[in-house]
Amino acid sequence: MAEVILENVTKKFGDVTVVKGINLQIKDGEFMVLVGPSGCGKTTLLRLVAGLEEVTEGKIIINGRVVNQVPPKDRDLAMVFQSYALYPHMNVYDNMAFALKMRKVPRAEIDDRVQEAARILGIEKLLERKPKQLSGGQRQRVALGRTIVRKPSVFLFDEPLSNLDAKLRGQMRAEISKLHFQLKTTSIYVTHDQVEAMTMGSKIAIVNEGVIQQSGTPMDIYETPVNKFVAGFIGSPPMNFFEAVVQEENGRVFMASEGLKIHWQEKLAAKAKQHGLGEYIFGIRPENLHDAEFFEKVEGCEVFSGQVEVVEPMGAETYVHLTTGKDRFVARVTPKTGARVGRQMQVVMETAKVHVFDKKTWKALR
Amino acid sequence: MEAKKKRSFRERVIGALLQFSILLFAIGTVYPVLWVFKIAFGSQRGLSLSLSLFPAQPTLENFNYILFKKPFFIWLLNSLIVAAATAVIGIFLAATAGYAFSRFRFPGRTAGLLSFLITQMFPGTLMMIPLYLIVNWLGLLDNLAGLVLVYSTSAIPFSVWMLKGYFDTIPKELEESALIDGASRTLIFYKIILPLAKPALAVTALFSFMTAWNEYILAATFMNRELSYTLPVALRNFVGQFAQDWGLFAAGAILVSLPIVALFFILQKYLVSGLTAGSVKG
Repeated sequence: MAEVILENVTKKFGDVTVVKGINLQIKDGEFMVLVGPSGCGKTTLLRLVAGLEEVTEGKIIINGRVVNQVPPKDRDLAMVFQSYALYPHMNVYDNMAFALKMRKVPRAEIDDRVQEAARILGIEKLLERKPKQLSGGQRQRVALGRTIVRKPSVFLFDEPLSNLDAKLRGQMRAEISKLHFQLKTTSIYVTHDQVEAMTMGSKIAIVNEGVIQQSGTPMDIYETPVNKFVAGFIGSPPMNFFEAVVQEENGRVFMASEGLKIHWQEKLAAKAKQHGLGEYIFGIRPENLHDAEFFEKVEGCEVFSGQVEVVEPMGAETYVHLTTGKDRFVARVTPKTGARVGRQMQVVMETAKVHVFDKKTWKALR
Repeated sequence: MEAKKKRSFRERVIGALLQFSILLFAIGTVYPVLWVFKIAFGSQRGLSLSLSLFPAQPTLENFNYILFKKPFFIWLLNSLIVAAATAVIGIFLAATAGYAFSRFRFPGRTAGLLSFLITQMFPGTLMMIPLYLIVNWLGLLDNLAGLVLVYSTSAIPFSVWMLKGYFDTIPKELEESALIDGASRTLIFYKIILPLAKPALAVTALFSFMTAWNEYILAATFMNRELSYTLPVALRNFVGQFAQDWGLFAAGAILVSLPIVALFFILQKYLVSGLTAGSVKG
């Protein structure tokens, strides 16, 4: 069990700075998910923790020890690679036993540990097989097994599920979560999939352009994103954004764009006044837009109309893609909706759920 | 309907022509080999002008003479020692060098790879005089070690390229995973990389072995005592300036080729994957 602390960690490849002064604390037993678009530096960050890349500046501290100069094998961590990196010429048993053999663990204990890990993962029957005789999901399990037998103080995962098909991915996601619940080992998990981040992380850190944009619990980040990037990255379908002007008419505050004019209720109006009138970016999640026909309007709800472009019934709910003026947005509405492509639809917006971002800095205004 | 018939007729003609030309080439390839067999099993000393593939009076006399009246087994041993040592030393040096070229970035890497390539562009005989001087200077004339040295150095460039190409296809993650697992660089090389590179190692080993096994000119230049001959040199001496015994030569040629044929059969399964290795991942 261990705590991992990154202090002002920077990594440069030649002139390119991939990781820019990152500070992050991963507490003992936490499952930290680093999520961001490809090329944002999250995998490099993980490799720095693993010791596969050298830190240019800053400190990495594992369990109170600065490990910048410590080789990977002495950092007491285990890593699952995106490609699994199973040794093709060894069978499953030897793949799992390799690290223990390297560490001169007695044979009987190796056997115990491998059998136990195989039992946890349900791969007892595969121990004699070679990796190429396994399906994607089985390989994934072996890769996990290889890390479990080590009983390391930190698990590192580098996009471990991205090579699996959608159904299996969902299944393995749950299994890794279950495993973490059983073992409670500090874990760092890298992914570009915000669904994995939301569902698996006890904490998540959103990385973009080598900088951590925000870190916190998944729900915190979902509900109070600190900037437009985070707001747009987390959530599916993503948050809708409108560029609009806040203006005052006869003492009433409105948010207006080409195709939209929405009255602000008092609380939001007060906030708008505090930051001044002018242009802002507004964000609203699809689930806070409703089909007016089936939604009982309460206080703080405003109605506007949009032209329906696409209707995507998901079963339990329906995504309706609409346009108004130049703006496009998605509403997540009841499957009973009567939305038809090409027709107008009345949409209810819960104005209390609107996020406001600075147009230049993209920062959330509170 | 009519058109289709015509086309299929034309196709059949083309097919037949193709078959015929392939057959011609096959005969052209196989006939000389069969002819060697005929001479080897015949009793004539010279070359007969008959086109027949069967000797007039079949006999094993030629084989008997080479195997038991001449120091054949000493020559065989010489050849085996030289070829095996060349293969082993060549592979070891080429594998380590190829691995370094594949995995590490160091000053002189590109220059090194290029110079290996350039040495391959000169005909081997061009190197004969400098090589002779070096081997002489080392006092290794008439010594099998001298041949091993020369052969392995000349086999290394090709082997390095071949192996580097193969190592390039082995995913880096395997090594990184092993590093985290606690293996040292050396151990990773022997336990992970080499076992995975078996097909490429087999091909390069066979290549080195055959180069050394078949080489004549350098061996003939460096080896002057009859007992230090390798097989190709010994064979050549059956067809001298004054006496020409083609029967012995042919019998010897067959005996010399047997180990290579055997090697090919043993390494067959690696060769097929080895030769395509690097081109297609899998």
